[in-house]
Amino acid sequence: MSEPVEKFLCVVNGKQQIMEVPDNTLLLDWIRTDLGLTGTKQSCEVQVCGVCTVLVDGVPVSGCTTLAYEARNSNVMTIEGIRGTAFYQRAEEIFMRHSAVQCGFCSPGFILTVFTLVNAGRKLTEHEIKQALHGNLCRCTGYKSIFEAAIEVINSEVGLGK
Amino acid sequence: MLVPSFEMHVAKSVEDAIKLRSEFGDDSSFYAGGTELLLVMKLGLTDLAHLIDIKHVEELSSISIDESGVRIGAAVTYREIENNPILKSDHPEFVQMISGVANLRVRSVGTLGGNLAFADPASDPATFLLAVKGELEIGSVNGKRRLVPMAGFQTGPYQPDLAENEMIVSIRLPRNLAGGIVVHERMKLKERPNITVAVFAAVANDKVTEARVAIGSIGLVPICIPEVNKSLEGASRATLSERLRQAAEIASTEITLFDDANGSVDYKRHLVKHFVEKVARRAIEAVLLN
Repeated sequence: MSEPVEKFLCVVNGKQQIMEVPDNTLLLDWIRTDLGLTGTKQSCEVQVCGVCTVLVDGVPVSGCTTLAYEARNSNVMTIEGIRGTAFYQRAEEIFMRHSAVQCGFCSPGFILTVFTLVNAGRKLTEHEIKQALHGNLCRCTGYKSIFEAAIEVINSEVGLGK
Repeated sequence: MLVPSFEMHVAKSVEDAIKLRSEFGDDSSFYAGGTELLLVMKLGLTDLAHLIDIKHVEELSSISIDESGVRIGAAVTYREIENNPILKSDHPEFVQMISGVANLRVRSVGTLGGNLAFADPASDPATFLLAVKGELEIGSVNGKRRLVPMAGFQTGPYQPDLAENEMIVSIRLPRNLAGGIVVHERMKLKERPNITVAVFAAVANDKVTEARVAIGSIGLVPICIPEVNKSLEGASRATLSERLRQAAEIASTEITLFDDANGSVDYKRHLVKHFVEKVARRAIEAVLLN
């Protein structure tokens, strides 16, 4: 039913990739298995925990419950794609300083979510930041330090609103 | 977890989507954000051979506002609602409710029409729309359209009042709330709300002229109980506390509840009582003090 498979272009972290998978392929599986980009994690499988967060055309989605079909002819950004940017370096330094990384499993999802908030380009209130981050779960329960680190990153990039 | 294999079809118009659905019947579903559908497919609860992608139909993807009200296309995402400047200024309570649905990633792609068509018992939007007398535009074969009230649209858990060849085309909100206001609250310990209460209240001459209390995310479907609404009508500042207690008592005894992982029936009755009193008080006090 899903054969033959058509080929599509997809830009992943700035690099052109050929996507040649059946309609029922999940974006997370394509990214991790076909592309070998394992910074995007796999866990709850029901888009609750946020470790599989990736950006499709700048929009954060759960890779576990998004079809690769949705990324055809689109731009996908994973945690590997923002490494080396000034944002990442600052975020990494701030997360380390706040001890906002313990086992590190949730960190890619948190950092990408913060990246999305910064990219919105406007000041955010602490309430808005909390509302955005509550969709990412930390198994080590280090929420306080993660939240403080996120606030500092966002404040250093776009500022905090009231 | 894998999604069972299926074939994707891209609909170009509402008529096209309905035609495809009529052709494939039971073995197909409309597909937009996929935030609910893909979950049930992954869990193996449904096995569909055909998905009909309706995201690219312009009529389903736009928000428009005129004198008669707000029209939100069924495939408009929560994110688009959150970012719509007119909705933000004219219907802040609606936008605030939407901005607390699920999580950021679900709101990025999940759609209002999808939420209602899925008819999940835990639905903030469905409960809110009941309180404001929202309507749904349903499209069916031969270009037929009809408007139906939100009240009665959910006939049971995951059971929308839609025939196989019908689809939600748009969701309608009243332009203004005719002198009243609506207040919405949810309590959420996990991903889905444990209870949602939305209350519309209007006042004239220091008395409540109309109250609509919608209770959702806790029973089988979101509901409005007429006796609860009636018990609040005519309430003044002097009688408000007593009337609120009555309304909360009626709501907690009349609603059909069940034990599940979210709690026992007793616990849920307590939630209903507490939230009906609290949210109705917020709504009525806001209009009485205006």
